[in-house]
Amino acid sequence: MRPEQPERFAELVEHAFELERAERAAFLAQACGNDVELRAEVEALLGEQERAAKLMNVPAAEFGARLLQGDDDAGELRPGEMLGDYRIVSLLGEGGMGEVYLADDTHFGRQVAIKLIKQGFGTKEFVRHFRQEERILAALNHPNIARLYGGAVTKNGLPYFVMEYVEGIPLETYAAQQSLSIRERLALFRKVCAAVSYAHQNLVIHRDLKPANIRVTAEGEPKLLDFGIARLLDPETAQTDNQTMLAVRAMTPNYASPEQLRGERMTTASDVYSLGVVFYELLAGKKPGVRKDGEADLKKLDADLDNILFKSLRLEPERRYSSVGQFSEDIRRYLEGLPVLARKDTLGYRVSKFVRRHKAGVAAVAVVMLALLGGLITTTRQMRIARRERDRAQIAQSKTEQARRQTELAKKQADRLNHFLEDLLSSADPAKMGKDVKVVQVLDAAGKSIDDDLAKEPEVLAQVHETLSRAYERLKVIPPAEQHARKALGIFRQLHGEEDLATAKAEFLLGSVLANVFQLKEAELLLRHALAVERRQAPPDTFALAETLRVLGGILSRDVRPDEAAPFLAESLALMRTSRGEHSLEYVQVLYTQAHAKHMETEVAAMQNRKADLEGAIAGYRRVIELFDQLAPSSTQAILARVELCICLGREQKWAEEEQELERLDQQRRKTLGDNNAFAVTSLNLHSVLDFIRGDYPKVLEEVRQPLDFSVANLPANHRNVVQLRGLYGLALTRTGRAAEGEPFLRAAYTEGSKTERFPFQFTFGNVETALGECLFAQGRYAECESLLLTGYDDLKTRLGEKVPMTMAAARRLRELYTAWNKPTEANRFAAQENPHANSSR
Amino acid sequence: MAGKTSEDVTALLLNWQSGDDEEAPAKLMPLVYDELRRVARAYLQRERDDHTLQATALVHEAYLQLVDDKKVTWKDRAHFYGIAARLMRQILMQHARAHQAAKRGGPAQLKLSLDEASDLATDCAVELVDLDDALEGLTKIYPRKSKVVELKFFGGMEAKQISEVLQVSEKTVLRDWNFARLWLSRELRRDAA
Repeated sequence: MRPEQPERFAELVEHAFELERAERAAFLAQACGNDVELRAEVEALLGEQERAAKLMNVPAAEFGARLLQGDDDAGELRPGEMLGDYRIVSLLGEGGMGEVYLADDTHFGRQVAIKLIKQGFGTKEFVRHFRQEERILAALNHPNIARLYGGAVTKNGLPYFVMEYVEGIPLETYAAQQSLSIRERLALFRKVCAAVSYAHQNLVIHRDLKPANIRVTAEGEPKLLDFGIARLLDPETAQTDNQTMLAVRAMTPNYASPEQLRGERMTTASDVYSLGVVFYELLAGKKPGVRKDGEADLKKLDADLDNILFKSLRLEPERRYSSVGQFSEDIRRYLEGLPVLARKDTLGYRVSKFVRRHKAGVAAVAVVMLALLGGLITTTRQMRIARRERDRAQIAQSKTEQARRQTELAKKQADRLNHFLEDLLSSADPAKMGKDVKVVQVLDAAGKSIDDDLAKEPEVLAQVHETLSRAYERLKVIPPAEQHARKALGIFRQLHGEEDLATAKAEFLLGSVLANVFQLKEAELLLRHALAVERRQAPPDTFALAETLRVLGGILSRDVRPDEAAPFLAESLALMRTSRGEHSLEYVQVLYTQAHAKHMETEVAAMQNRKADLEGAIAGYRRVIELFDQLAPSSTQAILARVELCICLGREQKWAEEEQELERLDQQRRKTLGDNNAFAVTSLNLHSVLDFIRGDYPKVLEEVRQPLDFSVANLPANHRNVVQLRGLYGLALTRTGRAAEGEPFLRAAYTEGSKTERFPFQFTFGNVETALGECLFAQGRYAECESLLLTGYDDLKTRLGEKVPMTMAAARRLRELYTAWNKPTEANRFAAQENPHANSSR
Repeated sequence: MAGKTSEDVTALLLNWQSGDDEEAPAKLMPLVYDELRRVARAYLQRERDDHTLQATALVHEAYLQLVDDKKVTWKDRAHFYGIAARLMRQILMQHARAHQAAKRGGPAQLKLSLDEASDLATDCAVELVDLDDALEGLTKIYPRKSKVVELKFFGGMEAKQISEVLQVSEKTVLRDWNFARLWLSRELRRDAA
């Protein structure tokens, strides 16, 4: 029933509606007149007033709330909808990031889980980023990790991941339902650790470990979900907007480590922390909340478990377990009734803290060390006795079983003590301990008397020498590292001869140590011999071989013979791939050495005046740094790679980029190594060059002093670094008006520099000649400086080319000289060279 | 809240306004759609947590999220509100109709999950579908009044905002609203009978 004049009808209704009821009849009578039908229509509508008042009196969103809320199809995707090969079955759940669906994989006929990400992500960036990461994530193949099958973007531009569908219940729920005992819970948790550890070895950090991401299947097997997904969505690795960044960070704060909450780079230690929270909940059945509360809550827990827990939950990443494997190992020790590594603080931690507090009392620490060494020796001795027992037992069959058990027991003890000793010594590892260089004192004290103490146990003595050598080398304190390595090698040679594997290993160690201080000739010989011995092994120890090849390649590369290094490194890479896999730290180290060789190729090219592929070297370093940062961000290799990168960037004269990297380098270095070591020196050196280029000479004078002293003390006088630093210092003095003071430094640089075979890149002997020339010029000794400036200029021109800043600067010096000397013809000639592109009239 | 989406939406609104991009409304749709759903969810979440919460202007909230207010004119804003309210209606109706269809016998999977859903949701779905049908009827005779309903009921907007969007007085908006409610009420009763 439609009124014929809708507008008039509406007007009547609206008007009447606004009147008091009593007035309506009169109004309508007048307005409708004889049109009874119209009036009836209007009155019918007015009669709806009560009901209409209840209609739409809440906004539709609120009205439809239940509809949206309880609905299965509230998600982005509808059941039955196709997403590539996948048919959506149902919405499994929703989270902060998006939705998870159950889907049928129509191609492979299996069920999969699809995670749809609904946070703002640029499609293109995501796809690019995803492709980079996918390979790594898809390669994770572990029974306790849900597989990632792939991922793509919906037609609406939302990224999604396709993952193995896991039918399981959350870890804690499972533990509660099955009323698992503490021991059963620990065993279950160790399986989780094994999976996380596997992923770490493959360069994948979970970043969002929490009970909801750990499911237990009907068979009682834990399965970890969403491995690496957080990284895929990480703003640091993908270019996205701030919103996403916040969203990602805010994801699961209860389980996030302090550094994660602060938005710092996450490492495997962050996963250790998150696992610690999970561990706590699994044992205590609730979240730790604030850390200090936890202590009270856990009173009823075993003291050892308590210690394990708190070691995993340390606020400082470096004080947590250094790996998930170690965390798990400690739980195993607990389960087997062995002492756990996590005391209130680890022994190593206490030792280093002690040393820090009592510089004078280091001797006491040496006593502890010796006690440990004694323990090691005793057990080694026991093991040998047991072995002898066994040999005898082979004659007397009846004793075999007993002897075997004895051997095993002794071996276990030896392993344990070894482990303990290593743990103590590894507190000297800057990657773990941070700045405490004073640990060196512990090592010094320990090394002092071992020769006497172990005189009757040469085999053990050699091993202890090796251990100490490695510890010193890790600290980059080379002289004692070399001494211990030499002693070990000497003993092994005497005991087993040249062709023995133990001797080869000692050669490997000494060679590696020597490479640090550029004693490359001897290092090369040692490594080549060790390689020959190792190659004769059958079956070959693939890993050892790969390491030897890598170090040898590195030595050749450092000796600027990249062409010779290349085949060794290629072989090493292939072997390492088989023995450790592509995502292992060791593999990355080979990649790093290759990057270095590539870098050296550019040096060779530069020396031969060929075009150098520095971009390639830079790209190589960047790749390696990224991998290191994931796997071992505070390792010396990571720092070293950054140093090399800075050097390359400097060579390319990309000062801004270099400065940026240098800053990161400094942060990394200070955090892990402190200021008193070779890296700090290198870094200061790099800084001083940058500041020199900027013309901040007073700052250069400050910066260069320490590297100079260090280099003079540690390197041969004709080493290019010494020459360069002396030159830099002398020139900075000259340019701050102290030319006379600078002269001796420049003279020394000149004298030693003439004996230096190779200068890298832009730094040539011509630089030294020009610098000394400038110093003499500043003192008004024109005749003396002329020949220096001229030969320096020629050298620069030949080596670097005419249009290079350094050559042009040398031309400027000559122009200044001739101008001051009042020789305008010569001055004009060099004015033209000073800037070959400009008008030569100036 | 000047995220990437905000820039996009603002730019699209401006291009549309200046006639540079005829497809702007179509491009705007999916962006607004997502944001609206997000706002709706958040709203529902709040409502669940706090029952005393006043109804907020849903579309206005979405607008604040999506548009850089300093760069657009009231006219752009009107366009936005119009689109947003329309979309809110579409989203809800999509849900309501899907719900109803499933209840009558949709795919087994969906049906199964719905058996657990409350009857309240079903009632709600039925009411919305009927209302939407009736609103279609109203549009044919009184398009502006129908628009008022869309903006107010689906868009959660106040009379003042609606008057700006539709370029009529606030009084007219109120009259339209009152009439529409009476009219729809009668239509709904007629259907039910």
